[in-house]
Amino acid sequence: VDEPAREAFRAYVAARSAALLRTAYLLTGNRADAEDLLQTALAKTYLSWDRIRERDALDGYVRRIMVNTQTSFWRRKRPEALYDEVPDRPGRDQHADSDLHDALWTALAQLPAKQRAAVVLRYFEDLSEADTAVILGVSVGTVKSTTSRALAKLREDASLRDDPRAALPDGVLV
Amino acid sequence: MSPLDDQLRAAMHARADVLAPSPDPLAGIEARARGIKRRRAAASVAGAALAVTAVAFVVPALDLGGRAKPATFATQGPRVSSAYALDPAAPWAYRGTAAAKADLAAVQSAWAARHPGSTLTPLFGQVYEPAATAELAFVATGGSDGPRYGFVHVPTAAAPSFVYDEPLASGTAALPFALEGDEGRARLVVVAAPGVTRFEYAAGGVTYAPMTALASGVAIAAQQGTPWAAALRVTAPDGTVLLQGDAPDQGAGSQNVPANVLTSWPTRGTVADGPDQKALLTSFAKAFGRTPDKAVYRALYTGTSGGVRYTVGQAWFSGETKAYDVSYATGGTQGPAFFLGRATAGAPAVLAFVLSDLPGSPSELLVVVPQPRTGEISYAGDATVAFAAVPGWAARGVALIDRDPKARNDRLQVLDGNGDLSAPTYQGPVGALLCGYSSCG
Repeated sequence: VDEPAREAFRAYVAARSAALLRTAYLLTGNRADAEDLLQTALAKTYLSWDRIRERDALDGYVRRIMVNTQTSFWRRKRPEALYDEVPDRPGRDQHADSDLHDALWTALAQLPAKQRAAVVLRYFEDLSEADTAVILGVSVGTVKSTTSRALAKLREDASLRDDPRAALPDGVLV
Repeated sequence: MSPLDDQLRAAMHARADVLAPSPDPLAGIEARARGIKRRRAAASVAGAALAVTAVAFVVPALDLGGRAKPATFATQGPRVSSAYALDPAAPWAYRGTAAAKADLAAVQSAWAARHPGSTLTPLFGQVYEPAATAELAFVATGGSDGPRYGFVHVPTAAAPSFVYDEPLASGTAALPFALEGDEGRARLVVVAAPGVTRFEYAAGGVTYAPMTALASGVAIAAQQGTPWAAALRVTAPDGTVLLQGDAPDQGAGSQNVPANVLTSWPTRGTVADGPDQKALLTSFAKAFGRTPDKAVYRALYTGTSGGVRYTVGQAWFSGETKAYDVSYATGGTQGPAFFLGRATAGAPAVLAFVLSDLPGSPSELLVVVPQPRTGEISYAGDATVAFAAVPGWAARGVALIDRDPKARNDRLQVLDGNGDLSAPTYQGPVGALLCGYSSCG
């Protein structure tokens, strides 16, 4: 990577790393893994920097690496090892719904990696189904069914089952 | 939005928005990049054979759309900017025979009628011997439709037939065309800049093999294997990848097929496993009392079962307005079997066919071809039993079901692939799907 390209990459990292760290945090559930995941994704991006021509699509490229890498992490770990991991909490939720948010956060950590990624991309990043499909490497239909199943699973969670604020969207079959 | 959507969004923002970024992460990123590079180099040195194997496994895993197809960044036209890109204002030099350009005036005239003010420039031309027809690949500019490219057949006794007529994206450096070939087998013609010599085709989407050169910067391959899985790669002499992506499927860009041809449905199965399509076309034409010279077939699925080679799909007569559901099988105890169904409905959820002459089998084979992107396919042997998922449908793209020849109340369920699990794409009797030319049941 030559110096002008390095400078462009540095500018990109400075501008976008905070937002991308948030996505990584939601994919992994804790800050240490999030930083590791983001660093890996940005390192891979750095190595490909000269070949990436569509700079407007960089965020999608990095997100896709993060999702793929996180899925690989997940595959390598025994599921129970990850489930045992209690997500840390970087700040206190000031909303009145904090108990529900805690329950949702805990339930989110139990989702399979791809379902969790679909939820993060759709409801945190507010990406369209089509954009989510590109990042996950699946069809739009699969995004819809994966998200639908993830929401159904969250609703089935014991701590959320009786909370009317966690009602399912219309049309989701539990 | 629903309460759960809103709460989920709020919960994630509450957790993530308070995260502060690490100060100056660049040093750590560069160190990690160097580590990755070292590992890649070590892996590369460890053995080229292993690397080839790894590509075969890793690339499909990055697939867009769940099919076993390589991940690529370009399909119809590459998004590269290079010295090899096609500039419609200064097109590539013409390659091919002079005879192919003999009727250029007629082609220009027909083109101007489609796109007023636009002028085409031929890039490659030949007389395609099996059809004794001149054909041209071209680029066009001018008029209000912008730059375009295409492919045209120029029969001696009929009007030019534009089988491709597509907008030209900026930076396009290779033009792939899937065209009708000999004996019902499609051919793939790719036109690039003069001097480009590396054209590769992967029938299964993974292992690339060189295509055959037709001229400098032009290559051809016969489509084989599963067209929906095939991939294409064009590389410039300097190593720039000019095009890498899905190989176009025959019919996908066609402008002259009946409106009810299911061009968005992929061709599944393995064409090489199937029966001779020339015999199918002969049977189809004979059913209408005609000769097969204008009959066209597009397979939706081709396979074998118990020694029976079969294909199901659509057939029509070139230049006419209706395509029909057809199937054809060879290897049964009673000889070749041709089935002519109805004219295909405009947007069917599924097409279903039955093969009944399977040597040594007490069952019929019910072949269910769903529209693209549907979900799980299930079958119930009669009206009282529950649906059970058909094994193997997802990998195959079609459902193959052993069916009791006496079944009269069996049912089929095809779930919607859009995630709305409560609204099946099709749920109902199998008999309603089994329609011959004159009746169903």
